[in-house]
Amino acid sequence: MFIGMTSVSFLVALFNTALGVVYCCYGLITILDMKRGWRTHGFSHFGAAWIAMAFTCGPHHLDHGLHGFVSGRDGGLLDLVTILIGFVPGVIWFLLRVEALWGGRGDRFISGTPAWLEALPTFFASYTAGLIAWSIWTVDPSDVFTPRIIPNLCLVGLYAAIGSVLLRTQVRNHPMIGGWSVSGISLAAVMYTCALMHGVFALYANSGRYYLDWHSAVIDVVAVPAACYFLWVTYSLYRGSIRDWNASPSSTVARTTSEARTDADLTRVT
Amino acid sequence: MLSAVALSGAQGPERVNVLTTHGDVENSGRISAAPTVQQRLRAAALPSRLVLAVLLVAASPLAYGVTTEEQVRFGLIVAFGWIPVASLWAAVAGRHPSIYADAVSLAIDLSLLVIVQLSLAQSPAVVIVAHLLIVAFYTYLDGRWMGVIAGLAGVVVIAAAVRTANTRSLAGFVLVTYPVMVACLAWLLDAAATEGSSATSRVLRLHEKSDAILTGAAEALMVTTNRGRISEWNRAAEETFACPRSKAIGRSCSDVIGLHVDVRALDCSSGCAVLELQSGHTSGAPEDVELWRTSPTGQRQPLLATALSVVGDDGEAVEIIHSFRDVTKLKHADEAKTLFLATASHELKTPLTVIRGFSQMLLAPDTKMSPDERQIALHAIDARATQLTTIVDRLLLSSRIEAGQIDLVPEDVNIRPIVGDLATGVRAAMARDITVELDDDVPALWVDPAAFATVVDHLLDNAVKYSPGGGDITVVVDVVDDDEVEVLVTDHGVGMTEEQTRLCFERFWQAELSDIRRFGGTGIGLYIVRSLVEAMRGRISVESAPGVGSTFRVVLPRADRVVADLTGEPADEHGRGDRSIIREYMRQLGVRLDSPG
Repeated sequence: MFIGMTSVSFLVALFNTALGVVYCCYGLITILDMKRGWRTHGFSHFGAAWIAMAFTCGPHHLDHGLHGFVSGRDGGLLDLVTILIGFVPGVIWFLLRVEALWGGRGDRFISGTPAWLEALPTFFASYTAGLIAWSIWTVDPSDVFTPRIIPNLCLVGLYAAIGSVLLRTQVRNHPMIGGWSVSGISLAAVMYTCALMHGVFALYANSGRYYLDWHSAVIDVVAVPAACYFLWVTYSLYRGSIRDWNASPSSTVARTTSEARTDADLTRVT
Repeated sequence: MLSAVALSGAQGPERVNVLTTHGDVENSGRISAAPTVQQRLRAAALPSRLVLAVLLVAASPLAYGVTTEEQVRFGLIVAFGWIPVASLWAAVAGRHPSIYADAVSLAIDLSLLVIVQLSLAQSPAVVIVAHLLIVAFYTYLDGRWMGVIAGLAGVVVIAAAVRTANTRSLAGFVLVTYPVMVACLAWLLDAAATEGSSATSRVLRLHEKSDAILTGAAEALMVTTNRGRISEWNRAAEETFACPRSKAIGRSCSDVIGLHVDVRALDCSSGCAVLELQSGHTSGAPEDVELWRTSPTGQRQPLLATALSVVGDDGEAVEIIHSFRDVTKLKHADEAKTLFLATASHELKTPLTVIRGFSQMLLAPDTKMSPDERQIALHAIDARATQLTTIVDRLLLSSRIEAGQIDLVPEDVNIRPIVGDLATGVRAAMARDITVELDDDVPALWVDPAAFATVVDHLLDNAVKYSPGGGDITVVVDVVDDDEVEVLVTDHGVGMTEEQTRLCFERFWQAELSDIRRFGGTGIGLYIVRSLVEAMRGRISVESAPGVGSTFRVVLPRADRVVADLTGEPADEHGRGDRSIIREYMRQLGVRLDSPG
């Protein structure tokens, strides 16, 4: 199956497949967590939105990876670069999640704002500008705009917006806690690099290098409302306009205690 | 890019202020003094530069007549030359702010214009417009002389622009008039900034202060126009009147809240009726007016209201600020306390009467009581003294709960002997038939043993008291799910209505006034039960029907599912006690979590 693949195509396919599997696994874990905590906390918009994201991002990457392995999709170097840069915060974030699942802290605290962290915005600005310059070099001026890439272009904006909300939450907490959460910062970076990844994907799809068949297109279309939902949830949590599982079970219980008569599931008469 | 902007915005307190929006103030509950225009500009400088640079690169393909190679070269110079240099210098200037640092920043900013002009060979109009912005920026930042320097330095750039664009016809005109125009602009900007910044800061501060007061006030605040239309509606008003802001704004206040005084509906058609009611008071300060409305659930909702008018230039009221306080709970509490005083007096007096009567008989010098009669009297005194002790103990426990002074120590507790012993005790003392269904495999609970015993004891006592007909009482202990165990105490007594089940866990509450006489008690037993259960991370509910009986359901955590935190720190602080990955994940994203129990 791998015979004839260039090393770039192979790496693009491999990393995308790995990403797809990781996303889907994490979505499954979140489903199990939601099921377990439903009785105590009720429905979680955050959990549902994360599941929706996991099961749209995951299949997108799996589809992309499998097209590389099975259909011989010619992976682009830009795509590989965006994946590799996104992989750094992604791996940090995923390892922290694994640590949390094993009962560990699942996070690290960065005290103050060290120079390397202060340099990150500059790095990302340079990275973005460089990526755009490289994209200009790659684009063929004779390419005609393909409407099928619209969902991917929407995802560029949505993921960047989600990253921005996540980061603003960290920025708001920074003066109070005197530092940064590695988990929060790395996820914000993941969202931003994902946005760029979709931009590059759209570029290659428009040029015809990545053929968008119907299942790829369906996955990307479904990903747009999922991303909108996640953006709404994260922004609402940031504003404090919704209460999710961040509310303690006791406050939920206080409500159920007084309204127990209406909750047939919670009260059994013998 | 957005993430870069946000992180850049957090490099210092003043940068945080730039990004602090109305919502931030709401969420953080922190009200900071409004930053000056200069502080805002300085904080926004780096993020703006980065955004602008990336936008220029992204827009470069739109430049007419420029080859792809030139566009790519421009992008690479900006990405790996200009952006790092500008950021590095911004970091230096941020740590050591001075006019010299700003002068270097100006040079770096102008260099971007030079790169744009040389790489993309655009018309000088682009550079001229950008240069005007730069002049305005530095004038605001450091005053008129810095603005003049920025203007003069721009001449070089303009000259380069004119030269590369080959628009020689403009050269002389621009070179003569441009410095003059820029100097005038700088002068005007500085004058406007000097005059406007203090007023702007003051207005901004006032605006933020009023926003914070409106949002954070615990009382429902409503602002109406002089024609009675709602223009402001705070969060407390949303809760008090169960009406979201979006549905209240723009509507008439009488439509939204429908106030009444005594039996009369308030008529606001000819002016604010609350203001009119207040005008009846002779004292200077506005006094509360007692009003009521019918809540969406159909209940009477008593309110204390005040109104203040905001007077315009012509002396007429332009807006009216209303404040409402929902006093339903206060009224209930007041009624409950009055009832409690009556109840407690009765409950304390009854045994005291018996004790006093028998003790007077025993002490009387001419008593002719037989030894058996003396024994009966002493037993009666002992029984009533025990009854008194129980009542006083409950009152004390209730007071300690109210004051937050109960310290429960949860531990691994086998509840079989506790439930068995209590049931046996009640069975023997009250001669009642109590059935206990408790499987052998019921796991240990994570509870305070004394508090758990108090809970079961109170529920059994309650079941006995409210089933005077002598029906069966059942105690069932069962596993709910992987995490919890439930204890069900069922009686077949008088039962409660739906309204009564809603209120039965309130302090000092009893089903009916007449029940004080029928069943006795002070009305604090179920309040104690609820408080103890919730303090042990459990929950309680009740299902009941009049004439059928009641089932109280207590759900408590299993000991083997609670991760003990050996460090003694709150488990949620570092996530080990909170097993939900969703909660853990939200915590790490910076969303504030309540304590897990």
